[in-house]
Amino acid sequence: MTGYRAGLRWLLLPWLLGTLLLVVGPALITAGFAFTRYDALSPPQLAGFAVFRDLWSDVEFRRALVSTLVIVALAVPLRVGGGLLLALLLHRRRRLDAATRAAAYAPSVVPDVAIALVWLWVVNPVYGPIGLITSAFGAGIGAVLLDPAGARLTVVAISVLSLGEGFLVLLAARRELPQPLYDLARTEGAGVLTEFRLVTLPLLAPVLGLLTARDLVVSLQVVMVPTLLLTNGGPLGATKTLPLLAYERGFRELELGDGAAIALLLTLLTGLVVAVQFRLLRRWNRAVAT
Amino acid sequence: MTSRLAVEGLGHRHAGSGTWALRDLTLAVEPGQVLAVVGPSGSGKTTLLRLVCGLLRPTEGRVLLDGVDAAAVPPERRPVAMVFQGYALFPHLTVRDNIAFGLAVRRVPRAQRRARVDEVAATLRVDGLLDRLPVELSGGERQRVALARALVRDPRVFCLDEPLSSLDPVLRVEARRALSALLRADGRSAVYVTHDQAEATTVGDQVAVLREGQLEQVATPRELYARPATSFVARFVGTPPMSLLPAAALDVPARADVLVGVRAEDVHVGAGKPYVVREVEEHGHEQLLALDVGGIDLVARVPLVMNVRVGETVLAQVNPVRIRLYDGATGRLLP
Repeated sequence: MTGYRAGLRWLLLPWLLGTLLLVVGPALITAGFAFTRYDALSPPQLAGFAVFRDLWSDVEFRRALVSTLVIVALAVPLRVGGGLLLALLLHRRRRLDAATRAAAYAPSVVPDVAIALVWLWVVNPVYGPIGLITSAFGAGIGAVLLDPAGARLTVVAISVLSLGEGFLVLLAARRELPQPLYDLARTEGAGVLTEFRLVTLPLLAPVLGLLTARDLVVSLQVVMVPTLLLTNGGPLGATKTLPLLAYERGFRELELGDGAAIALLLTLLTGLVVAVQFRLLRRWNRAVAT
Repeated sequence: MTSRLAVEGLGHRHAGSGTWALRDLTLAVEPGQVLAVVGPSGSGKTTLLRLVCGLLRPTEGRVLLDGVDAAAVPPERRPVAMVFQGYALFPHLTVRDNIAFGLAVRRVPRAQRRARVDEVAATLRVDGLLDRLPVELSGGERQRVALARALVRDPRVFCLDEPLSSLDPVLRVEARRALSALLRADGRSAVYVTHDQAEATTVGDQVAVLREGQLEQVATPRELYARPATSFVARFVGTPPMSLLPAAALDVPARADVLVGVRAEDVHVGAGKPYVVREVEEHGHEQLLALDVGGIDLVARVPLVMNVRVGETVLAQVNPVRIRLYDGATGRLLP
């Protein structure tokens, strides 16, 4: 038995080593750099909290913080809500099941880069489909990506398209809900909305909570690729999110201290947002108990 | 007097597969009566309940509640309460909220809800459990909570789908007695679905036997036991069920294809023709002997004191007055 356990430890070793070397180590080093000024050429100079004070008074950082929060606040509810809506529409077994579900999931397997390139065309005012259709009616759209709100909405739209994973999880969770509970609600005269409010939502709440947390974490970090390709953070920094700013500061402007500090703040922000979300969920769970 | 519940020529066909789950069913339940519906799985029992409480629409025929055609009455306005198989309690709601669920859907004011739940909970002795979650309840407690939720509606008819199937056997007997009284109280009626014929005959004033969506027989438990209307009912009802043997094997003067139905207590062991004992089953105060009659079992009920072993030959004869004859082709009881 002990030999078996020792064997298990050896099996765990490569993974542990990898995590230490590739995740924990760099994370600690980054956290350390966050308190320095470092340009990757001369040795880092300890600066303490001055880095953070400077960031706080840095207009670009503040704008990035707001942009991040706005985009996440729009994208996460839309993505989780959209996944839920699709799951509830498609959970019954019907003809063309496989096709509709595949369609809902498909955008999630397309690489961000490809989606970003397609959207460059979609919102192009001159030859994109939206531009062509609207100008046929004499309206036309402006240069969407040059307008701060338009650019943000486009970034949100792209991220909402990848709701496939949440959709699959919710589809499976909905399938697991016992039919008699719905029958009971129907014998009491519950309509679609009451049924949703009193049966589906509370029973799916744990899954929704988990998905939202995961989605928050992912959104706070991963919206980088489309924004980099689509808008490069513009216009006027409207889509310059914190990860993008950290990348710019650290690797383009060689202010590694700044980049590390932004990354550290982003991690703290993620933890905070998820904690708040769980707190809200718990309170709501208590309130929903009729 | 109009019946509390009546179904006339009731049928339901699955929209998808086109097969009939229930066909041409006519039954009536009087006030204060329990109708037990029994049959193997897939016989249409649950379909009947769903038609009565309005979860399904009849493909043909009518459901009458106190003489009124229920076709235009939505489920929530029918004086019917359903107790679902497995109880269908909400795992995230306390007992109180589970019982009040229907009231919440109907938007009954909170204070009124409380009062009504307290009242019903006392009747069913779940008043000490109101703040618990379903996971913290025993099987018997869950069953009572499900009943309380049905009782909250103040129904005229209870529809119960296998209400005791998830209880252990000891608890089941106790729960059955309590249920029996509750279902008839205040002139209420009940349709009680079970796959257990013994349970059906103890609970029901009338017992309906269904098979593949068709009614085989509806009768009092006594009548059902004494005069099964079809060979299917004969084989289904009673512990043990009737033995069915070809007429020739028992020297009964009848057509060759007639089956003779014999209850175990109508086989007298000790005189008559010799038969080999194929099996002995002890049941506490009595034992059942399976006698080999031309390869078919004839079951006899004998006292424990009779010392019989498997393989022995005993003398036995059938009481000719108490036998029933069934048409070999249709399975119908012959007059």
